[in-house]
Amino acid sequence: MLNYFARRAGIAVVQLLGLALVAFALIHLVPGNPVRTMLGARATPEQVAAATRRLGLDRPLVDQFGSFVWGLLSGNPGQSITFAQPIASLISERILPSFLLICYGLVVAIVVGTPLAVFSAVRPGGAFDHGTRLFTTVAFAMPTFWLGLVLALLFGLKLHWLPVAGYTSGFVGAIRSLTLPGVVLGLSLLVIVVRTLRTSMRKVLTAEFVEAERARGFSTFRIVTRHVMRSAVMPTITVLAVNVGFLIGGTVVLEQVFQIPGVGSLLFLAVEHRDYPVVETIAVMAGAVVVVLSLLADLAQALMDPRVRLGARTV
Amino acid sequence: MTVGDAPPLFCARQLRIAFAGASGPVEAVSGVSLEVRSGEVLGLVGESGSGKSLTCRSTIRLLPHRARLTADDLSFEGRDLLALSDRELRDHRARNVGMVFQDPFSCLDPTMRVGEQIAETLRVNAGMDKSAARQRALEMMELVDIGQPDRRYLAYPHELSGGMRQRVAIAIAVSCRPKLLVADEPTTALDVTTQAQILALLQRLRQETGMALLLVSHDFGVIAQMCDRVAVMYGGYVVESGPVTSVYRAPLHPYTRALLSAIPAIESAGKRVRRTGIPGQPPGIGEILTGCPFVPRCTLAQTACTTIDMKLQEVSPGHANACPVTTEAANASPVTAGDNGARSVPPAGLPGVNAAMDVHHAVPSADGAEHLMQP
Amino acid sequence: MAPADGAALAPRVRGTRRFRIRRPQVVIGEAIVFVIVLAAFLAPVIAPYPPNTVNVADALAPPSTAHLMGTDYVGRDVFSRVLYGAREDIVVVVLITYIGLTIGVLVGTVAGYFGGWFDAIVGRIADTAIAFPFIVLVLAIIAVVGPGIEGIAIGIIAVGWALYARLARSEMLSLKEESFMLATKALGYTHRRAILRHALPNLIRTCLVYSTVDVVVNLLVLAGLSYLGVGQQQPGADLGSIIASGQPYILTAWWISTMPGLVLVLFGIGVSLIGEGFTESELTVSTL
Ligand SMILES: Nc1ncnc2c1ncn2[C@@H]1O[C@H](COP(=O)(O)OP(=O)(O)OP(=O)(O)O)[C@@H](O)[C@H]1O
Ligand code: SF4
Ligand SMILES: [Mg+2]
Repeated sequence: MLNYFARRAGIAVVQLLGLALVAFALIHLVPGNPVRTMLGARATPEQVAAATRRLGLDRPLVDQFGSFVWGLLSGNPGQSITFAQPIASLISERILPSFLLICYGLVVAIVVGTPLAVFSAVRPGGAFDHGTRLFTTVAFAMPTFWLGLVLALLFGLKLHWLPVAGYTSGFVGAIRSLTLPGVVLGLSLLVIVVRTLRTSMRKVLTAEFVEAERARGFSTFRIVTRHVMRSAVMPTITVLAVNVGFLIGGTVVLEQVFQIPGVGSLLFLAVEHRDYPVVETIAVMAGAVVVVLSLLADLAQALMDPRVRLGARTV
Repeated sequence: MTVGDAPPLFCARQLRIAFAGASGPVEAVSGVSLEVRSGEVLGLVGESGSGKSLTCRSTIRLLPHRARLTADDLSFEGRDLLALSDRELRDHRARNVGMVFQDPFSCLDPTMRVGEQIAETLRVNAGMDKSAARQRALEMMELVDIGQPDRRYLAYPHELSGGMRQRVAIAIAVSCRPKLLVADEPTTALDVTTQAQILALLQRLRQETGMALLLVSHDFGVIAQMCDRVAVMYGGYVVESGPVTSVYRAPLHPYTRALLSAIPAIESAGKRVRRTGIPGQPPGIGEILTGCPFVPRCTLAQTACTTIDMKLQEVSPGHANACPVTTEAANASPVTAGDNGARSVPPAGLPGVNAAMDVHHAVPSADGAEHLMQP
Repeated sequence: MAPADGAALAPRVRGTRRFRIRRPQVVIGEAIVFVIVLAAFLAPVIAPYPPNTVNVADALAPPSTAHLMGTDYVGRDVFSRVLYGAREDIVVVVLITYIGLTIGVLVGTVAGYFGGWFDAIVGRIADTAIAFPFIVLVLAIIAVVGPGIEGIAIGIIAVGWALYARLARSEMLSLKEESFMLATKALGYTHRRAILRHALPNLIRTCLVYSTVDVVVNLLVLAGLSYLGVGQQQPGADLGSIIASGQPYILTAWWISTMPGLVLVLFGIGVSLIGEGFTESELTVSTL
């Protein structure tokens, strides 16, 4: 068990290092002088030299990487060029809306997806199953930005129910401004929730113990909620954790569509202004979220599954 | 079959179970008639695929999704099972009929402690509260000889041995004091010593509670040891049924005879035994549509056999046969019925059979029953 | 011996030709994709107007027989622009998806076949590539190479190969245990022959099935980034940028943004339906 934990954590550490290395390498892959590209054509040679020194780009590569990683670890990844502000404070100002949006999307996907998956798994091949398949396929093929636009047109501009853009803090404000993007985000994730949950439920439902429980006089409702879900939920959570990257990507686009001042729109600004330190930091952070969440999901799965927990499986 | 004084506990008449096949429905059970009387032990033998499990499951109408069941009568204590609502059916299950499955591992929820699984059955069916159910579950575990029930209560299925798991499954099945226990090959997945213990346990529970037992086995030795009556199934039909003693001493149907000659003659424990085997293959499901399903493998087959109506006909009290050819011969010369015609019919003095018959009503102890098992 | 052995050893059937279960949704999917692809590729023939010709007098005209999907704010025919845009999107998406597939399948197959340090390194690189949220990595690459299709293409391929490499590797690992692959060793085939002639044909199918999902995802990413202004640059037509160009007029001229979006959705649904059919008939085959 501990062995498995250690190995799994080791993989995550290697992944995190890989993330940092890739993000770090990007700035050095910029054709020509990255500082000149960042500062624009009007920058004087003195300004370029100063910025180069400030970014430490004149130091040996190993040194640079070392301080890059240290900066990330110590929570002080440096200074943004465009905003002339510490990156840490830039991000912390904008993290909440992004975080809330992701949660909103997850909640929508789970709340809508679970009943769809459960009912289609209980009657596979039935009308409901087919309908769900069609619905999730369409939801999947729907570009988030376009769906966002159409919903904004409908509920914002025509019906005036919800704001079309911007973000208001406070509970009600946040809910109102995040509902449209949250629903769109949730719909794009829906197909993943429904497919994985349905598949793992089918697997459990066809297991012999389900038959045996019917023989014990248990209702389908009890079997599904008390027994099948127990076994089927964990794989779904793992898949969701792995797909948090997909959610983050969706957030980046939707924050832009709905002009929500989150980390996604910050990334966008940074890309437009070639603010490489900010781009690097956000890229590593986003990757780290995915790595850490899938690590946690794997460990949680190991903990939840009695066969693993008690060391029956030596991974 | 004679109509007994009391109405049968479970009764099936012309039970048919069909599956939707590529070209129309395919019958897996094609007109089985069977009854289990209160307190008796009925054995069900037959080759793999003959429909034993489906027949068992019809006692609680627990059939695969795509299966279609029809019957002239399918009743429990006179109540029509086909007329039960979902709710009534759930009440019928576990309370009236407990079921033990073949594989004791896959029939338990791997993510739940075994004690809780017993307790849950009690809470659902006997309406007990949490602590009462727990108490009763512990008693049940003791009843089925699970040592240290307090500790084992908290175990997960994978932590127990096959025999222990099967005891848990039995505890679940009998926890609501059913009048009928259906055990579908309860020992096939277990090793020899454990098989004997589980059979002894079933025997003891049956005697203590007086419930009836429907026991499926491939093994005529087990049937002989455990049962009062036996029904032999072949190709979706009951081809012969009757008191174990008379079916054993004077098997009528050519399939039963072949089956009896195929069981190993057990000389003594540990010695290798030879099986004669029945030449040929059992019919594929839906292969034979008319007449007797045993025609391709029967040494007595006649042209008329392909058109006969598969109906059990009583030959002697309680002993019925579906093969008109052997029935006729038996009626003509009842004395020689036992060794009429079929290839390698077991002689009356078959040692294994006699050994089995002798212990018939004794409670088998672990060592005593051991040598009755097939290797 | 050359032609005979391949047929004898590798069970190439796995549903490729033997089972062709035509489900209605597959036929519908194929019809949708076929019509859109055909129309896109015949854009120069079908398009009633040149895609970039400005005609201010006719600006913001609603859909009519003259302009099937109306005109945009400078009077360009939306239908013609959608045709050209779809062509561009489809070509780009198919190219980048299948370049990624080719690289990934080759790397993954070799890694799975040989194992060892090569496998370990490939595995770690693939893990890292997959750990980045897709769009974030693509945006980071755009920050380096500048806005345009190139950045998107590089980014998508940089992630895409890793998915196929993983898939091909795990397929290869299970194939390695099968008798016909063991036989290639016994018969003394070269590794190249064993991989290319015997393993690839068997594992490519899984990858192709997966690529139908991938095409849709990539199309959405491409269109999304173009919509956000870091993809195809004006005046070039691309479904995402057409939708973006119509956004300011969404209340007065809904058609500019809605029509290209519908084409995008239809294409995505079509491809997904084809993919569904694949997996369903595969399921049918495996349960038969
Ligand atoms: N879900 C199903 N779908 C289709 N056919 C089935 C299904 N379940 C059982 N059958 C068919 O019904 C026939 C009888 O099955 P059953 O399980 O009752 O046999 P059995 O006598 O219990 O055999 P065994 O000794 O192997 O347990 C089998 O031949 C099988 O082909
Ligand atoms: S009916 Fe004919 S084929 Fe069937 S068992 Fe009797 S003799 Fe054999
Ligand atoms: Mg069976």
